[in-house]
Amino acid sequence: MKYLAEVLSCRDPASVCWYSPDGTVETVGAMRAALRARDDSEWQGRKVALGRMPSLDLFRTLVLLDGVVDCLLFLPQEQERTILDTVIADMQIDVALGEGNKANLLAIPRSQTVPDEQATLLERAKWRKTQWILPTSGTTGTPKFIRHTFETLTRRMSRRDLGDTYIWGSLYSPRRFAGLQVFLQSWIACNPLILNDDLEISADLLRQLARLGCNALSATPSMWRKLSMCRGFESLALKQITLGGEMADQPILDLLRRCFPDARITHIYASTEAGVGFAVNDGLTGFPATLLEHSTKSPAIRVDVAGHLWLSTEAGADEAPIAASPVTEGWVDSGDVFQRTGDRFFFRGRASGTINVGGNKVMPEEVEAVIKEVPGVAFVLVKGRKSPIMGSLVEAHVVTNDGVVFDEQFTRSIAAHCRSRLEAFKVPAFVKPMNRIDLNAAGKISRKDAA
Amino acid sequence: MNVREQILRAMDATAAAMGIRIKTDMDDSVVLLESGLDSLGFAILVARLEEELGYDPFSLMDEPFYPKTVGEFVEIYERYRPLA
Repeated sequence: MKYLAEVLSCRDPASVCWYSPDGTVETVGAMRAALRARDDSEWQGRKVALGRMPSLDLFRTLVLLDGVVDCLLFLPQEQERTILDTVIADMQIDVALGEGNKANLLAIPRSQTVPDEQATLLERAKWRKTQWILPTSGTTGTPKFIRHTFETLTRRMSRRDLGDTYIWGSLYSPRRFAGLQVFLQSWIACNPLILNDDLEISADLLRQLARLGCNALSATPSMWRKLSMCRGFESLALKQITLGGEMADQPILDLLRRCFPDARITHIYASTEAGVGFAVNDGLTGFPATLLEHSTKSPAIRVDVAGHLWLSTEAGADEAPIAASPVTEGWVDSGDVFQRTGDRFFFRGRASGTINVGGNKVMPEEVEAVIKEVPGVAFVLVKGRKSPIMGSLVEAHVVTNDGVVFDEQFTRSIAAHCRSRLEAFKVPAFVKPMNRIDLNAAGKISRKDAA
Repeated sequence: MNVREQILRAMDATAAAMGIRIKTDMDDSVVLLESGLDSLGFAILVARLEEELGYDPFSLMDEPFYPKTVGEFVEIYERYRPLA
């Protein structure tokens, strides 16, 4: 399989690609018609940026343009307009698609009763290896991008045609790496995918998923905990449960096993840089040491003496990442620390102090910088605090200037300032007084001792 | 103050610290995720209660379980309360 649209030629035209939240059903036949209606010459070799748009529009666009355009750049969602404009200029983007500028591509009418005469017309004599350029998560300031192709993104995915065996539900934003993985996995396995643009987990959402027959669902461990708190959770007939984005701990794996005794439960470790590192199905947290040994394929992971997990970029991006993590000879340091006990490796935390709040990464330095803006703050140290609900919460330790009273009003002023500047998951859940904060030889806050 | 009162006070304090509004008529049948606290707020509430009550039932459970209603939530804290 070389590009997304190839999947369409081997599928039944009546089968469903996507169920949309507004009740629209997009079939294989309708997508074939859209492909035929598209003027390839208009798009060949173009550099396309993808902005905010409904999931259905995004996935249609990917299928229509992959293999035709030069690159598909996923614009980071939470960036300021000026930064996005710079990125678009730097990458020499020709067309930016998004709300308000869907160009004529998305104007192609949707129809579910299109005659499907010649599927073979879809086979492209000429196709191009479209680059998928994805932003890494959890970064601040200038975004960092990783180059992938359809092939590198799906290299470790099952390519069996599973037809309607699974009906996937999407709980991630489709623009996040995890959301894209769900889309790609369901697409290449020919499974329908239920889209959801209102990402709030609720009993209503569960009802909608159940009504459409959802039996495969991917979410972070924190999202699974939240799902289990919604009425109707146990009535989902799940056959496949996938966890990713943060490390799955034993309690959540046990809870899912108890609620869905017959489901296959998989926890996946993946990163934007390297793609999927490992996928474990045995219901135990961590991963078995056998994964480090040679198997039929080359190993995708290794653990160095300091316990850092390294991911093989063989499994992921074609080229070296345009940034970020240390890379040596085809390996990238995940920054996650694992420890071996017996025949298994267990997650111990982030080397850098990055805090994972329910799958959202928080850089302590970013929060510290915002707290330092509050009058009266002399030193601040931000670190993670274990949470059985969200994995971690953000906690700030503050040393005040002389004469400043650390009272409730003071902590409230810090919280209010953080709320005005940071996303909710980055705002410290706790602000605590501290007498002093130790600095290391370089004059920086000593995170290692503080962790 | 009994456990229920402490929990309800901690819910108010959590909401105040997060700058959000929660239901004022909090009875046992209220669904936690419809109380005004989202899952982040719920996580913060559990951490706050650990500081105030000295235990976190979710870390003590052998069989993990997440409550759907306020009544279930209070019941968990009552069940896992350490013997004085």
